[in-house]
Amino acid sequence: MTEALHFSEIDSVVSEIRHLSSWLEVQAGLRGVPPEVHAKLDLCMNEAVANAITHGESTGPIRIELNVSQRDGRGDAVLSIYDHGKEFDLVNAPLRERPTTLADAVPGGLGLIMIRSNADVLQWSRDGGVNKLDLTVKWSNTSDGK
Amino acid sequence: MINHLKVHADQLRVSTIIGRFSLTRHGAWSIIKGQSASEPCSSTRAFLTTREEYLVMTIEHEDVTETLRRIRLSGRLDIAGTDAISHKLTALASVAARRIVVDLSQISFLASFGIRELISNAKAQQNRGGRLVIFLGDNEAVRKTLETTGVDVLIPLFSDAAAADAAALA
Repeated sequence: MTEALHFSEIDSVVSEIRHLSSWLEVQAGLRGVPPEVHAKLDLCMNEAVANAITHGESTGPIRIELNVSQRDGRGDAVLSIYDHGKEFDLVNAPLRERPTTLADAVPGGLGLIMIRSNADVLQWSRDGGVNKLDLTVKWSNTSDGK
Repeated sequence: MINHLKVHADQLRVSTIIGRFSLTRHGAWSIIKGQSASEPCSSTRAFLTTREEYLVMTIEHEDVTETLRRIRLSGRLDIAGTDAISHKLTALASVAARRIVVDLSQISFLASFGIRELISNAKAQQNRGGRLVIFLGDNEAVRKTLETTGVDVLIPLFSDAAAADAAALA
């Protein structure tokens, strides 16, 4: 069963990211997304949108869409994020080497790690000056897991 | 002495919106296909309230001894939440050669901006000859985020408050 498409949109202002989180929480709850899955989507969304605004210099609207499908006890939640920032392939961008001491720690790079560790599937594309990122988090209510 | 600062990091947008309301099972009001009083709605943009949990970020501190200071944060440590408490946190954590325990047990959400703030303050305190550790209690969600990002290698994490205090003073 695939439910109807819903979306939310903000201006490229970091203070508005919370509105997306609030919308996502409502939609995830209405569509039966388990809390732990919603938490992963929220983390990924926050990092991806913040990255688009602060590093991608996104202007104009940022839009997110949530598609949820469930069948036979398994589910997929796909969050799509659209922004008008600089071209940035978040899926294939190289990760920074992780510091091993506090002295070596430098700002940045954690957002990518958080997105890649929480999303089961990531797809990126660009068309007409718009980046599109699809984040999929899967879950299973069956005894054999995913 | 415990000092408390409560910061509202955002304001509701709904005061100018007219539309249908629905109360979700989470208790959040959702305005669907709203129409502002000043501009007719020709789009399907959904305007939302923001729950109280999203709005309020608090920071408290307690000087347990002359050396040991506990700083307790609660709320969402996303960009807005981090901005709301950043100056206060730095001011509290920047005392010379102090031993700091940052209590994240009541943090409901931790983004990379919040982590960056913690690392920055931990580094600064280390450079002053002090030390900063993190107390998590049973906050497994935040623990997982810190471990996934490798922060546990940089800043000690503790589930037990006494162990956190002892490690900060070590």
